[in-house]
Parts: sequence; structure tokens; C-alpha cells
Amino acid sequence: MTPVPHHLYVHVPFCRLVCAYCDFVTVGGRADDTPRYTDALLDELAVRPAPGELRTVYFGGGTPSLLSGVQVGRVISAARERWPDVALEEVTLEANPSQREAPDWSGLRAAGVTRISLGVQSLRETDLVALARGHSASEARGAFASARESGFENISIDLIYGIPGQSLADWRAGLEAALELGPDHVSCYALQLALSPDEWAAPPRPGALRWRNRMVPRQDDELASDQYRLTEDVLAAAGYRHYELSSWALPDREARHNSAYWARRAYTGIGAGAHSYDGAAERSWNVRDLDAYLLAAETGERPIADREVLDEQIRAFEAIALGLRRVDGISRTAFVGEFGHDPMERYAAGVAATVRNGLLEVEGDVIRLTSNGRLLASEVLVAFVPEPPTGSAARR
Amino acid sequence: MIPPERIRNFSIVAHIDHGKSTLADRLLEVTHTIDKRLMQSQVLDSMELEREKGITIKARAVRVHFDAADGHTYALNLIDTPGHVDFTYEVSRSLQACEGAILVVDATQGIEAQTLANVHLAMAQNLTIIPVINKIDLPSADPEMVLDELEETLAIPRQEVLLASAKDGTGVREILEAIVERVPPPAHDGRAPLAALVFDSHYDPYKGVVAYVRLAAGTLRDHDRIRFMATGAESDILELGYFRPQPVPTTRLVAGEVGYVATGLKSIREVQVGDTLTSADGGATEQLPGYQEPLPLVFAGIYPMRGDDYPELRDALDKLHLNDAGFVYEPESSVALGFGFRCGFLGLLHMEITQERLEREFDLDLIASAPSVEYRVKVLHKADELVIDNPAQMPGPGEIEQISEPWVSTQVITPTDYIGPLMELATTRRGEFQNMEYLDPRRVNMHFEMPLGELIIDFYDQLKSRSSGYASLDYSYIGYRPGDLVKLDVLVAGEPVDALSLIVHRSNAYRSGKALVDKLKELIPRQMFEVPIQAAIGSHIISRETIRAMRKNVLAKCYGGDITRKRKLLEKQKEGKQRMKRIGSVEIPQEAFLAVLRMNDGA
Ligand SMILES: Nc1nc2c(ncn2[C@@H]2O[C@H](COP(=O)(O)OP(=O)(O)O)[C@@H](O)[C@H]2O)c(=O)[nH]1
Ligand code: SF4
Ligand SMILES: [Mg+2]
Repeated sequence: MTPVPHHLYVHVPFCRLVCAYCDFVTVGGRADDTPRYTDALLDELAVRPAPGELRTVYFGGGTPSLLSGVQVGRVISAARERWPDVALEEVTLEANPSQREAPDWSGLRAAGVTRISLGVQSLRETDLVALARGHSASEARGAFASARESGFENISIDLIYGIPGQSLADWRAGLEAALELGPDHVSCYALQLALSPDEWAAPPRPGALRWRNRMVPRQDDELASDQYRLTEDVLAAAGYRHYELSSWALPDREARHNSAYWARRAYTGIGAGAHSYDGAAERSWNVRDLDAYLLAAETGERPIADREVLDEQIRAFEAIALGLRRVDGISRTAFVGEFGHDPMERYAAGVAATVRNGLLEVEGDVIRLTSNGRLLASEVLVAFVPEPPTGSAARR
Repeated sequence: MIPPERIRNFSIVAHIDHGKSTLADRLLEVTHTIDKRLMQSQVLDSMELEREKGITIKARAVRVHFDAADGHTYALNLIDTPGHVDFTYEVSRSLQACEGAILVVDATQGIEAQTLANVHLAMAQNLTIIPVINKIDLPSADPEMVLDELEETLAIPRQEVLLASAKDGTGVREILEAIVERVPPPAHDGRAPLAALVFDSHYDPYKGVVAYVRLAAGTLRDHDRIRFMATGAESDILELGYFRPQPVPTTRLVAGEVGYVATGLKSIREVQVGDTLTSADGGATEQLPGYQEPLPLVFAGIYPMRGDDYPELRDALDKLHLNDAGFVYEPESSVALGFGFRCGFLGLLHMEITQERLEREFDLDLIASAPSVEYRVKVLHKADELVIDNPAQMPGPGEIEQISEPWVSTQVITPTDYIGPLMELATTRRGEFQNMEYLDPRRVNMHFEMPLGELIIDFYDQLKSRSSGYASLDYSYIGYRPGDLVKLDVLVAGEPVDALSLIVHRSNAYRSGKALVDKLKELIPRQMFEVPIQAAIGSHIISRETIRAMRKNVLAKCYGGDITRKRKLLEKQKEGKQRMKRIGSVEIPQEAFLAVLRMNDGA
């Protein structure tokens, strides 16, 4: 019997400077705490179950490249020791291309990292200034080259569009410049300037909020959607396959760890604010505050903040929501296999409305977003959101 | 017992904030009606809202005992009148229960619009007026100027005017002595058939409607059976008494006295202000003069913010209605706002107060449509006139022969510096200038006639802002006049939005239409398709904008496997959509309607 695949996410909540648009769990100016944090990660790992066969590890942040190769190596070895079954296919680490915090490329390589996700964001100086990224375009090029030289064969870059002041031509030029680096994988995200508390993972600093308030009116959704379309064309022409809403890959270079999320496979998340999923009906997450995390982990307990049990409705919804992120869409027979109904019937109204608006298409066994639908994915998914359980909608 | 010759019935009239309530407090204090230690300020304004807004909404009647300089003890009945133009009719009924009125004028402000309006009411009833210049303790007090104004505008001789400070008590005894000396005792014919004027009433859950009465003739005993002449309602008295200011039961009231009658009746409509109370058998044959049915002038749709609050709103309206005869309501429904009520009020302040009481006392969140007046519409080839208080119900332009609207006569008192801007304001609101008098070299009283419909949309706020707060306003209803009025509809994706229909003068239609369309364009979120927004008169489109289709809405990033957060965001989005109102296939957030309804540029 083939073992159940399992995945490990390691959150590293340190950044030298916190970006004004940032929506991740991170703290600035605490990089001195990385040794203590690494110990805490090992403490947590020791008390977490290690089910299935460990296939991928992903260091996300924050800025995981603030950790030394040795620190990363300790986590990877601890994971290998903790899991009875290990068949690692991919070990990714997110890195920032700044000279002042130059990653320990060879150390990371030696530690077992196989894939780098480089936060280039843009190769246009004015964009980097607008975003106050703290690195320049040439530093980004340099970082990419150093990573390659250190032997990383699988490098992904992140790019941001929808930046105020970035025209369609600017974006094209930036994309083409990025392609010249020869990345194996490209992720493109629209700049999202969450303004309302609903949308925050953590409350931004007041200065950051002011900055967002200034930037938002200068954003143009029409332009951003044109930029997205252009991305699809340019990357397709360069041989990258669009396989997920924001992700493009050369053949066989799809992100395996992220794909596990979309396929709703089980993962264990360690570190401050990290999320875990048991592959069935439970999601849980750790405390977000760095100090609270450290203290809890050091007492030898899982620093859990909360957990949520997913009922059948929510699981079915997640299957749709995560499945539709994949450009190939979802398989109706697979859905029937898990939930007993054809999604065409179960969500008849939502499917009809979104098909009518040209956002969703059904082709034999496959349901997927159309190219308009990919731009309006949230609008489509809302049509599938289950009714809240009775009681929670009661007023006051 | 105090003999009728030593009874005095009086009230205090003043422009708002000139010190009426404060003076009433001092009068109660000086006459030991209320122990100084228990005194809180503005005792007579017992409703929370009255205290907060500093206005008297309900009349009160308090009996105080005063040991005058002549060695006798007098019973003085202070009848506190409501203090706002919406309640002019109530004020005039309260004054009818008196023989005298203290006219309070602020020494720093001088005569204001409602000073004049109230004095004229008092003079029309032949009351003895005791002029008092208040707030003389203030450094900016200018009693000389006010004396001049009183002399010039109201022909009040300087020697008659008393100077006082209701704050520190200066002159308060003198005011009481003046009441005793100058105000005549009430005529008292205890043997004539009973006739008592109802000058206010309130609903008490235990005693039913309690009428506040002044006996014009006859005697009222605590076991009498009584009848209200205008409404025909009859009842046995449950309790008879007077206020000090708490109710004090008594066995009888005689002609000239003021007190209350608990009737056990269940609806305030049976006991209306201005009606005459008499004995159920062998009573008076003629009503006391001046009774009027309350006349609602301002109308608005009131809707619960959340549809499921409709039953609560209905109960709340039923309860308020018990206690407020000037307020009427009936159910209506709107595509945009759901189920609610069309309500009629005596005026804008009355509307505001009622809405606030509903929200506070009954804990409801409400949306009110733009206030409207009642139009009279002559339909082609039909004899009867339609009465329309909801613009959405106006027939199409092709069917209308003529629309008439209510007009009011307004007086605006202002420092001369603001004559220009206020003149302009009044004329853009279709005001017709009548004349202007100088109160003193620096202040004038301007008279306009204008459509009430123009006045109720933020005219008062504009008046205040264009005069740096100095101008004051009073108005009274003068009748219906035909006007070149049109119904302006707003269409979203071709569907009319009933709650946003307006009746406007043809000359303002374009401006109002454009303002509405622009505002909606700003407020309606993009949809999956293009949405035209139009303003139209009948089938004639006068303004148009288009909301372009939504192009992008993605939650791009996967936050390290935080799927829960994504789902929560989508749930929020769905909830938001469910709260939206649907016009055809267009989803419009309630806030958009609210913002349009609150648009304050008079569109
Ligand atoms: N300095 C001073 N202030 C006064 C005097 N009389 C009233 N006030 C103040 O003027 C304001 C309005 O008084 P109020 O009695 O509520 O006026 P009303 O609206 O006529 O009932 C309040 O803040 C009072 O405290 C006075 O004689 N002197
Ligand atoms: S580098 Fe990334 S994680 Fe760090 S602050 Fe900037 S956006 Fe946030
Ligand atoms: Mg008052």
C-alpha cells in the first residue's frame, strides 16, 4: 500500500523591514531571535504527530532566508528524524534578494534546500521604490545569479502587478526582463492593499495603513486585469504553463508543496501563526504572536491558537474553492467519489449563474474557470459558499 | 384653600435657548416647590431627549405657592409650552389656558424669530405680557439694545421690562411679584356648565390617557363622568389632580384652575389638544374656540435597517402613536427598502424627534426616505384630486393636469451682514420675498413665502451655515398653490428605484437628476455586467451614467496554507451580497441608498 503523502510548512516570521503592503505573519527588527526560534521550531516538531510519508518541506515567511544554512539544516534533519517515512521531493525556501541580508546560498544548499522562491517583485526601480522593498533590481538579478551559481536548479520568482504607476508596457518590460533570468517557475500576484480589518491577517501599523490609503485610489482594476491577461500570453509564449491562478511553470517545475494545498492533502505547519490540516476534517493554527509562540513552544506544548472542524458542507466547498484555483479545474467524478453528488447538481444555482456570466465552463468531466473567471475567481467562489449554519446568522 | 382671586395662570415663552427652562427651575426653587438639594437642572424637561436637545416637547403644568409681598399666598400655575415651530398649535393651546405670559429674551441675542412668533400668539390671546431680559449676568449682555428692540418692534415700554438672570437668581422674585400684580386672576364662574380646555395629554399605561386641562367654567369633581366634545369620547374620571411637579390627587378643580384628569381611555386620539372637556350629561353646549385636528405636514418612509425588525418597528410606532396625536403612519413597501411605514409629522423637528425616539427607546436601526410634503394632484378627466405623500405614487406626467403643493410663510431674523446670502438661499428655494423690517440698525426680519417642500430639505441647516449660526427661522402654513412640478425617477439598469423618486420643480430637475445619478455611480459597486443609471421625467431621460463591469476580484495569495481565512473572507463577501438590495439583477448595498437619501445638497 502506498503511504499517504504528507507535507511540512515551516513559518519564519522575521523580516528586516516590514513592507507596507505586507499581509503575512511577520515582525521587523527581531532577526537576533532566530537561534531561539530555531530551537522553538524543533521543540514544536517534537510534540507534533508525524503521519504519512513526508514529501515536501516549505519554509515560508516572513523572510526565511534570514536563517542560516545551519539553522535550516537543523529543522530539515529534525523533520527527517521525526517522520518514520520520508521521501522528500521538494524543499523550498522563500528568499529575499537584498544584499544587506544576503542569503547563505551554499549553506542552504548543503542543508538540503532544493528549490528557492525569490521575492523579486519587480525589476523596475520605480516599482521597488513605490513598494519600499529595500532592494534594487540589480540586487535581485545578483541574488538570482548567486542562487544558480550555488547549484539551485529550481528557482521560482515572485512578481507583483497592479502597482500604482506601472503601465501595461512597464509590466511587459518587467516580465521580459524577469524571463531573461531564466526562472523555472513564476508567480504573479496583484498588489493587494487590504484596507478593512476583515481582510487583515494582522493589523498593519498606522503608517502602513496611511500608505495603503494613499495608494489604493491610484490602483486601476482595468489595467491590472489587462496586465494579468498579458502575463498569460507572454509566459505561454515563453513555454511556461499556467497551472494555477497565480502560478506558471516550465514542464515538471510546478510547485509540489503548494499543489498539495490545492489538492487538499494533509500538512503540518510549525512556527508562529502556521496552519495545519489533517487531510480530513480538521484545520488548526498556531498562535501568531512571536513571543507567545516562543514561550509556549519552550514549555513543550504545541502553541496552538485554535482549531476548526470542517463539516461536510465546508469540505465540499473547499474542494471546489481550492480545485478551481487550478487551471485544469476539478473533476466531477472525483468530487462524486468524495461527496456523493455531482457538483453540477449540488451547486446547480451557483454553476448556472457563473456559467451564464461567462466565468465558469463545464467540459465533460471538468469544471474550470474561464479566462474571465480567473480574474473574477472570488465572485465565482462566493456562489458556492455554503449557508452559514443556523444560529450563527442570528442577529445581535 | 386659596380663593380664585389669588390664582394666576401663566406660561413662559422664549426663543430656543433664551432661558425658559432655567427660569422655570428658579421659579420652582424660589417658591420652595422643589427642595434645593433635590433640584436638578431643567426639571420640567423630563424626557431624556428633551434634556439632550434642550427643547421642550411636551407641555407641563406645575402649581407653585408664592408668598407675595402683600402678605398673601398665591397659587401660580406655570404652564410650560413646547418650544419649537413644529408645535405652534400646541403652544397656542397652552397659551389659551393662561392669562399672562413671561416673555424671556436673551440679553446677548435680542429678539429672534420664535420670540416674535410666540409674542404674537400671546398677544392674539390677549395675554398680559411680562417682558424679561435674561442672562444679564453675562459680560456680553446688552440690555439696552434689547430694550430698544422691544420698544421698536413690539411697542413694549421700557419701564415694564424686568432684568433677570435665571442662572444666578437675580430678578426672579420680582418676576413672581409682577405675575401677582399684573396678571389678572382667571374668570371664575363655578356654577356655569363645565368647560375645560385640553392643552396637552399623555398616555399612561396604568391610568390611560391623562388630559392636562384648564377649567374655563364650572367645577370638576373626582367622581364625574366626562365627555370630550370634538371626539365624543366619554369616560369616568380615574383620578383628578394637579402637578407640583409630581401629580397630587385632589377631589375637585374649579373654574380658573389648571390640573390633570386621568381618563382610562386607551387612545390619545380620543383626547386631542384643543378639545373641550365637559360633563357627560348636561354639559356645555359650545366648544371653547380654536380646536384644530393636528395637521401633519411632513412625510417620510421609515424602514427598519434589517427586514426582520419590521414587527418591532410596528409595535414601536403603535406605542409612540398612543402618546403623540400629531404623528400618523400607515404601512407601505418599497422595492429598495422592503417593508416599512409612511409617516406624517407636524414638521421636520417632529420627524427628527420621532425617529430618534424610535431608535433609542425601542432600540431600532432605521432608514428614512427623503422627507416629502403632501401634494394635491388633479388628474386629467377626473373630478377628484389625488393626495400624494409618497413621490413613488405620483401618476405619469401624461395623466396630470396640475400639481399643487403646500406653501408656508417664513420669517428669518438675521444680522444685516447675511441679508445677501440668505436672500439668495431663499430664492434658489423658490422663496418669494415679501418685505423686510429693521429690528435695530444691525438686525432685520425678512419675510418670504415659499413651498414647504423646499424648506424641509435642509433649508434650516443652510440658513444656519450661511449666517454663521446667527439667523433664526419661523414658519407657518398658508395653503396650497399650483406649481410646475415634476416627478423625477431614478432608474438602475432600466428599473425605477421607488425609494429614490422625488418631486421637484421643473427648473431644478436637471440638477437634482444629475446629482443623484453621479452619487449612485459612485456608490453602486461594479457588477458582472454594465449598469446604466438614469434620471428620468416620465420616459424622458435627463441624465445618464454607466457603471462599467467588474473586471477583477481574486484572492491571489495562498498564505502558507491558511485556507480558513480565505473561506472567511468569501463568507463575508457572500453575507455582504445577501444584505444587498436587488433592483432587477443589480445588487446595491443598503449604504448606497442611505447615502443618497442623506445627500444634503437638496437634490
Ligand atoms: N449665563 C447665563 N446663562 C443662562 C441663563 N439662563 C439660561 N442660561 C443658559 O442658557 C442655556 C439655555 O437655557 P435653557 O433654559 O435651556 O433655554 P430654553 O431653550 O429657553 O429652555 C443653558 O445653557 C442655560 O444654562 C442666565 O441667566 N445666565
Ligand atoms: S518581505 Fe514579505 S513577509 Fe516580509 S514584510 Fe515584506 S511582504 Fe511581508
Ligand atoms: Mg427648554
